[in-house]
Amino acid sequence: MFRQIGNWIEERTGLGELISPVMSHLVPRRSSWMYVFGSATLFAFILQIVTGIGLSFVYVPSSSQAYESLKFITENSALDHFLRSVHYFGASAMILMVGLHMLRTFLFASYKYPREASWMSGTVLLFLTLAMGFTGQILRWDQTAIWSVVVGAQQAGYVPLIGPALARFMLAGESLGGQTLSQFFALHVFVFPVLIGALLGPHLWMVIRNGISEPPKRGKPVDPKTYNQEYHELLEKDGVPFWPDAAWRDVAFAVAMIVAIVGLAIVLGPPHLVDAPNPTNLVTSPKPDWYLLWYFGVLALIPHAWTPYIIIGGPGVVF
Amino acid sequence: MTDKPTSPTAEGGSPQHGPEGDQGRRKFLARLSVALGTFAGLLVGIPVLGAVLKPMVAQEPRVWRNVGAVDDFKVGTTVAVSYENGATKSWAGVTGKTAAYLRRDGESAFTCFTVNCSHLGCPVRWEQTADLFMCPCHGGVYYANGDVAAGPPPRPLARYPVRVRGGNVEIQTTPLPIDGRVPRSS
Repeated sequence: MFRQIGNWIEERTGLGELISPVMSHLVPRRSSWMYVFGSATLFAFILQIVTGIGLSFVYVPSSSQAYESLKFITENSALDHFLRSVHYFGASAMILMVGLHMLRTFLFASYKYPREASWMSGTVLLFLTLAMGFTGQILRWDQTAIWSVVVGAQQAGYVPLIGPALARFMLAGESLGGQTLSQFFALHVFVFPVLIGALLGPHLWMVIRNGISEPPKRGKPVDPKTYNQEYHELLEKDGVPFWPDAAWRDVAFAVAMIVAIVGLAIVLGPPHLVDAPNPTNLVTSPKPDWYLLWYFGVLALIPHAWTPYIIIGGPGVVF
Repeated sequence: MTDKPTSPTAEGGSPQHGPEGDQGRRKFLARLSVALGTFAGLLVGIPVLGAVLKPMVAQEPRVWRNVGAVDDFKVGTTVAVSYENGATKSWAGVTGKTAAYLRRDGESAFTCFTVNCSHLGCPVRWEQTADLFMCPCHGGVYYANGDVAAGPPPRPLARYPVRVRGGNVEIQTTPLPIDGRVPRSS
């Protein structure tokens, strides 16, 4: 019965034909637990979309009311409280996983031929992920959030020529106001997720096209002239189908990650909301969330003359 | 494209439309499609871009805001004051307000400092006993006249236009200072 329904659908859509080569493509047998971080990032992204959609049903993105609505979400509804908490730890997990994914790619030299374009699209995805984290933190719309917008605008102001215009773009005007939060909401909920999705397409396609890299061997550098042939010989000799030989690790790790996120969400709860947003309350000390704190700290330690180069040039080094 | 002619015209069409004519027609249709698509994209894209970019160019009116009577401020002291921005929307709530530090230098002489550190814009605090402005973010310190005393700030605290009218102190609304500078007022 199910088989019949399946065949009926397959005959008309060809979806199986599309997916099956993806599932059965060969991967090097020596691929290991080190290769799970990319898929874990993807699973965290999906978790963020799902929990984010849930939150958007109860959050009011208005400069004058967002804080109150978030306070209600956090204090008056156990399920919304849990949802917000999962979204927060999901964000941390996504940033952690994208960092580990990049570290693994770098240490295994997987960015070399023929996967340079994967690395480059990955760096843009990394920045988009951090942008999601930053804009999400702004949506808390408490004292720290509004001052983070000011600090963010000041940093944008360091960009040569277009700096002041960029700063005004971040503020959505000449200073904080009614449009500031609407703009961050639009960026966080529509613009950045769509950009991430659009880049994820080619990023994942290249994994299928070029195959996942095999762990590097000492004394055997990548030679673009012979690499493709050697890689395909390796796969034919010793490759295993992605599903389920390698994919089970991705699934197991992602499930462990989600269990950890939910566990932390239950035990620790969502991040504390500081005072209500008030640009005239000056007794405040804005700090970014943990993943940008180190960067915020670096800006205190360097001589000021370096500041523009760190703010603008730093990301270029990663790219 | 080096493949054999496959279009119906080439196979059995009228003799005037050979494969070369077909290629020219295809090139024309491809360009036409791209041009039409661009036209439609611009048609709907312009208002979208307008909505996104308008805040970058829109000028808010410069308004003088009353922050209190001259006698409310003691000579030689610095206090925080707040006032509404130039064109506050009702839905901005409290975020439509701005704070500033006002210092009374003499009988009718006032200086108005921005609260934003010239390093990265964090709100500096006025420490009355130390006679200094201190930034909580990266340790920037300023003297009472706004000059840099220590830390990473590159320039003194920016100043806002301030005047005395009819016994009241008025501050002119200005854009948020970026890079420690108050954008020119119109």
